[in-house]
This record gives sequence, C-alpha cells and structure tokens, in this order.
Amino acid sequence: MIGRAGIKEILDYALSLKGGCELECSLVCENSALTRFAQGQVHQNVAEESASLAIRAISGKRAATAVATSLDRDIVSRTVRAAAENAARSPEASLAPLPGPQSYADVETYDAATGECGPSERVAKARLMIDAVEAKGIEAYGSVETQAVETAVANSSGLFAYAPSSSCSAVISTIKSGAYGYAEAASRKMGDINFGALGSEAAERCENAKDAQSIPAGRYDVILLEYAVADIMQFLCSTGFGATAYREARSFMTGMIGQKVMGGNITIWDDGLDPSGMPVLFDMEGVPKRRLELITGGTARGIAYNVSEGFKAGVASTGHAFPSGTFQPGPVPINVFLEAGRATLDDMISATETGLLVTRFHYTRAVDPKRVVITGMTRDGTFLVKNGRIAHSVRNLRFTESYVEAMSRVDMISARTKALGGRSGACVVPVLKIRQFNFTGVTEF
Amino acid sequence: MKDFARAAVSRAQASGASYADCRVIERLSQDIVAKNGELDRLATGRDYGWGVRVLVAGGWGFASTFRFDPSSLESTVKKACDIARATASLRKRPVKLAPAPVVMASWTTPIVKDPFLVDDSVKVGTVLEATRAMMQPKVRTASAMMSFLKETKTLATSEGSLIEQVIYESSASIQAFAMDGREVQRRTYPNSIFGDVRTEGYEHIEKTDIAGAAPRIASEAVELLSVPQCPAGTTTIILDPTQLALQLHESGGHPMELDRVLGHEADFAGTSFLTLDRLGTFRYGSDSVNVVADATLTGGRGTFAYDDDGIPGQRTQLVKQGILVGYMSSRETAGELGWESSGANRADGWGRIPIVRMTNVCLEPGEWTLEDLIADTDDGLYLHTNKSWSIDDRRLNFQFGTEVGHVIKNGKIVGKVRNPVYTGITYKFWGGCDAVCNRDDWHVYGFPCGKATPGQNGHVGHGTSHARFRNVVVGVRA
Repeated sequence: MIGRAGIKEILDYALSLKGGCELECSLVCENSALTRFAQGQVHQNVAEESASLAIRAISGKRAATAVATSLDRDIVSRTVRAAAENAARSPEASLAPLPGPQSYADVETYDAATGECGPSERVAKARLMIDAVEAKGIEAYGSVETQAVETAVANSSGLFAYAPSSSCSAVISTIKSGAYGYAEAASRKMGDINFGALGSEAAERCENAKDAQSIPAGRYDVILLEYAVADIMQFLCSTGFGATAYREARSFMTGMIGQKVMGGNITIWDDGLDPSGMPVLFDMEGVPKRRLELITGGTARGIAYNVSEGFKAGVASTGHAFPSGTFQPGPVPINVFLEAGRATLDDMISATETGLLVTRFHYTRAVDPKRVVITGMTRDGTFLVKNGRIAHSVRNLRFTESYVEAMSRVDMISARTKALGGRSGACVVPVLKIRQFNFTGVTEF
Repeated sequence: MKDFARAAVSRAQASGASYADCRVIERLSQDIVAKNGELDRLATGRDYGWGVRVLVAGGWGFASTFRFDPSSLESTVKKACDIARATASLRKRPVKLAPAPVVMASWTTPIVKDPFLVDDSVKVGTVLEATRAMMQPKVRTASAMMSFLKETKTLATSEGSLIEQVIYESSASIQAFAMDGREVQRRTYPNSIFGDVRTEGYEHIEKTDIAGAAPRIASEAVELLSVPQCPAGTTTIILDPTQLALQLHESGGHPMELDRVLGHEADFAGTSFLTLDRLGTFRYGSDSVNVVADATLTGGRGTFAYDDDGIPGQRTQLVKQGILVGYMSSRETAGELGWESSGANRADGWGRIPIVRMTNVCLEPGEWTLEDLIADTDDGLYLHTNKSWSIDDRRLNFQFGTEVGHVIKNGKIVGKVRNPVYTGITYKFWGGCDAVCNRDDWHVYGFPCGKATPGQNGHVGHGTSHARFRNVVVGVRA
C-alpha cells in the first residue's frame, strides 16, 4: 500500500504540470493475487502489482486522455503532456465543468487481513473448499482471489478523493460422472467467507445433479437461485439503467420514468455505501456514492449518470463514472440491490406444480438489448420440480427471454439474499420464482 | 529489456527455481472514437511492466509488477518463488513441461505504415467523416473508432532462450443504430466485434475505408427497420465469413484448446466435449470441414513468431476431412500428456500468466464461389455479421444472431429479414456443412477473446470464407 499521502503527492505533482489546461487525474494501485485449482490441485497461482494512471486534459472546449501504468515522475509528466497534446488536436465539443471538492461517507472498505493475505493462506482457504468436496468423492475446481486496491481522483477544481479497499472472492465448481455443482461468495473481508461451507454447498449440488434426464424445451415456471438472479441484475444495469443507453434510446427505461416497467413486487436500487454489498465511496470522477432509486414497486424511477451525461441531461452526476479513456458503455450502476421478500426456498419449491430450479446461467448475451432479451444456458445444477418437490436433475437448457418482461412475472421472492460480485461492485439479490420462463433449446449434458 | 529479463531469470534460479522465464512488455496504444459527428474520445496509453514465472518443487508461481528498480526485481522474484512453494504444497503431481528449443531471435510484424507515425488529424478526420456520412433520418447513433497497438516483448528463459518481438495491430470500424419507435436495428462494418483487428499498419485502415462504407451501412440499418421478422423453422443457411469466423471461434477453437480439455478452465470458461478419447476418431464435421490453427499467416491477429513458452509459431491441423486430429497446447498441457507443444501459450500483457490461446483458427477454403453457392440453394437464408452469440460450457449447444438475413428462393436473393437467430449442436451443425467457398473469398478476421481468471483478453484470428449448412433451426424468439 502506498497510502493516502503518497498517492496525493503523485496526483498533486500531476496537477502541478497542468500548464494551460485543466486536469482530471485518476489513479488505481492494485495488489491482486489468485490461487486457482483443478482436480483438487493448484495449477495457477499468481500475484500482480499494477498502477493505472489516467489523465484527462481539458483545454477550453477541447479534451482528451492519456493513460500509463507507472508512478515514476518522468512518466507522470509525459502522460500529462500526452493528454494535453491529445486535447490540442481534438475538435471542440461541449464539455461539462469538473466537479469541485466533495465530502465522503465514513464506510469501512479495507480489511488488512484480506489485503495482506499471502499465498500460503490462500492455498489453505482453497484446501478447505477442496477437502469438503473430495470428502464426497467429487472433483474440485475453483479459485480464491484477494485484492488490495487504492483508488484516488484529483482535479484542477480542488477535488481530492482517496480510498483503500480490499476484497476476497471464492469460486468452487464440482464435477462427478457428468454431474456438476457450484458455489461462490465475495466480500470486502476474507473472514466473512465460510470456505468449507461453500465446498459443501457445491458438493451437495453436484451429488443431487447426478443422472440428469433430458426434458423438452418450452415455457417453465422457474426458481432462480441468487447466482442466476445476479445475471439478470447485471444485464438490467448494463443495458437499461445507464444514462448513455437512456439518452440514445437503447434502454427499456427511455421515456418510461414514472411508468410501470416491471411487476409491483420489484424494487431495485443502487447504493455504493451499503456495507452489505461491496461498498465504494466515490466514482472515478470523485463524485460521492449515494443511494439511487432505479425501480420502485415496478415503476421506473431513476438512471445512473456520470458528470458528462448529467451535463447533457441537465442533472447532477449520481456517481457512476468509470475511468476516462477506457471503453465503457457510459455510466452504469455497479452496487445494485433487489429488494428481498418473505419466502423461503422451500416455500417456492412447495408452491411449484411443474417447474425448474436453476443454479446459475452461463454465457448470457443480449439478443435484443432494448427489451433486454437475453440468451444463455443453465449450468452447474438444473432440477425438475414436480408437485412441490425436486423430482430429478435435468440436462442443461438454453433460454431466450426478456429479463424485463420476466421481472413482471415474479411470483415469489426469498427473504434470504446473497452478495455476489467482485472488487468494484456487487449485486445483492434474493432467490426469485418466475412464471413461464422461455427455454428454447437443450444440450447433451 | 534483455538485461532486466535475464537478471530476473538468474535471480529466480538462485532462489531455487528449476525453471523460470521473464517477460518484459511495453504496450503503446491509441484509441479514437467519434459519435454523431463529434469526437467522443482520443486516448493514448503506455503500459509497461514485467512478470516472472517460476517452477519450484513442481509447482508454478507467477508475480508481476510495473516497478523496475533493483529491490522490486528482488522482491517480485521472491514473491513468485514463495507462491510456487505454496502451490507445491497442494499438488498431486509435479508440472512436467514439453521440450522447447533454445531460441535467440527477434521478429517484427511486417507493416507498411507505422500507425503511430500517421498524423492524428488524419485519423480524427477519418472517424469524424465516417460518422457524419452515416447521419440520416432514423439513424439515432452513428459511431466510428480506430485502435492501434504496438507491443514490444522480450522473453528470457532459464533454458537459454532470448526472444524479442514487436507486434503491431490496427483496426477501424463503424456502427449505425437506426430507431423507429420500439424497434432498434444495428449495422456494423467491417465486422461487429471491434472491427477487423489485424497485425498490420495503417495500410489496413486505408484498405478498410470506413468513410466509404458509411452511407451504405447507415442505409442498411434504416432498411432493417421495415423488413419482416425472420420466420421460424428449419432451413439451409449460408454464413458470411465474419459470422462464420465467430462460429468457428466458439464451437471450433475453444473446444480444441487443450487446457479446457484437461479441466484447467472448468471453474470459469468451462470444459470441452472434444475429450481426449475422441482424438483421431470423432466426426466433428462433414468431409468439407478442415480446420487448422496457423500462427504464421500474414496479418492475422493470432500471428506471431514465438509464443510465451518460446515455441515457434506454427500450423497445426485440428480437423481433417471432418475428423478431430489435434488440439492447441502449451508446454505444460502437452507435457502432461507426453506430447510436444503446438506453440499456443500466450499471456495478455506483462501482468498475467500465459495460457492456451487460439492462434489463427481457420476453416480451410473449398472450391465454391458465393455466386454459385447462392445459385445452388433452392430455399434458405444468407446470414451476415454477428449480433449475438452464446454457447454452453462444453461447447455443444450454441445460438447466434446476425444483423442481416437475406432470403434465398430458387437460387436468388429475393429479400431481407430482420433479427435472424440460428441455433444447433456443434458437431451436428458442422456435419451439415456441404459447401465452402474458395480462397478468393477467404480472409483472416481478428477477434478479441475472453478467458481465464483473472480475466485475460486474447488476440486471435480466424480465416474463413462463405459456407453453407443444411437443416439448421432458425427464428428463435423470446
């Protein structure tokens, strides 16, 4: 860790080189490490120390960016110069003013035990998952990742933001005789994750998934575990809740603010400060995180903005900017919550005459981004529910379904939620029971 | 770079590594994006760092950093060795590497015009002109982009290899979104996924001529708003080379990566239906299907002289007359089976470990021309330019959508349909391939490729021409 003072010194130096330009500087310094295993043995074990400096230079109505992966003063200086030269060569455009100084919430985002975790400890955590799986005679595949990240933003208008953060994520996949299982977890604190329990969850799912039978494609009621629901949230965010897609009329939210777009039992919001997710204090323009209502009782309420999209729309940034100079679809919510309900998973199964219990989705892609029509496969444990009980495992199916329209057909929502994601954000989601999900194909396993 | 890489390797050997390699990489990049007649982004980048990979007690360790001072060299090598020892504590058998030649070499992508020496005003002017040429009624968003990369990479190994490579990449592309009420239609050129990235210089941008193609692409996007939906059914399809390239990537390239076959990707990307017991006997496709991985093709995005194991770039037969005959491999994955590496081990920059990546995975050309192929088709669809893609984790059940569907009746194109989607099972689909167009129609398209944790972006190419497939399910809808 470089620390607040060291990071500020680097960014102050960059700002001192501004010449005739205004500057916006972001710096992300990261120590990441990942231990990965296959068939119960470690096959990849890596550590990466990186620094990503992005300088956006604004000269009157001209702006451009330069990025570098170094903290050397010489490179910082060259990067500022490159950004200024790029700006000078850019055509004029209508530019938003830089945000001034901000104040930030006091939310804990760094856990030293996680950020400083060494390879022996990561292997020990992997072993906890592997042992729980191999004890059942099942093959274990997965990973344990830890990160320590320092994020800072500074600009010529006096803004300075700095926050350290840590994260840990664990994934466990299980395979036995053509049956598959899965579990994952993520937290700012490694101590929050019960690795042995994750292994047991994935092993149990794999045991239950044996002897999968093929069933025909068609519409089925589905119970989607949190892993699958997180995929729905991610697509709603990336295709629908961002201001760029909204402005360009590529979003299902375009023109629908204040109108019903989902079922009345659906409430979705973004909150970078909620510690039950993966808290983040500010975005990459230094704008503080705050709660943003997206869908309330099925009604479209809000959109995520960065500074430039807010300027175009005449509203304030909601704190959803990504680093400048990177290929992004524009501002997107990354700390998303779907309101829990009251049901248990057993309630949902009991209430299902004929349906499917789906562990997670795989390789999902947008067929029609505006309607959020997504195709993808089920993976790692799909089960037929018959007369209120799990009947047997089934071979994986392909679905082609509008996630927006599916969110108008939610019958039951679990009380339990799970936080899923990575270091920069998370979805906190419950289990959902949805009517008549559209399955359009089957595979051979 | 050379001295630093050698020093890191020596330090690793002194720390107990039985094998070590070090890659020092500098990446210079430039991205230019314009939207609706205005410049959206002009960004340049310099990414410079190094990574050291070690084998200690039969386990891998890897550490990387952007710091080059002596103490960082010492601490980073120590970190890699400590990681390797932790790995070894949870290994059931030691890593065994396939043999590699000792190589002292340097190689540079042959280019005509260095894209980093072309005046930025020319590039900016071209992307602006392209977007302006697409602006017409119902075109809501017209965007254009150019990207350039120059990667300078030095590899030193403890076996004595020292290899320097300079690889250039260039691409330009355009995209038009047309809208009419709730309907949104998109057309792109020359390919939908970041254009057609090639290991060429600015001459590739001039040949691509995005500004010249812009009016046609915009008009086609608008036209798609008013054509009928693709009907559902089972029919004959002809795929254009860009769509066939992605079809080959997903259902051919990935399942033929040996790391997937051995389970190294089981927790993330998945495994493969092309298991080892199927090598040499499994009918992957029809007799018309011949697939190679070829790292030696001029201009391919998967073209290089040596992979990150120091193995020479080479041509490997994967499918011969429809039968699976090979895999893409690394020294580690090939060594596990007592084979020789096919030279396909590559990392995404200095910060990540090399893994098995596609090179240029190509469907070998056949004898047909597109004109003859259409004339020979009584009833079917000619599908053009990818719009969506998905495949299961063993690479069997796939579904693709394309931007355009041309309707073929009695050997002639008679109209268009929108939102065409087709689906199938990989080996049955390739088994229905009854015609592949000739070399005049054949081109190597460049693609990105996501794989592994931590995530890595691969640089791959696919050589394809038009091809025809029988009995394909089309018209899948939500």
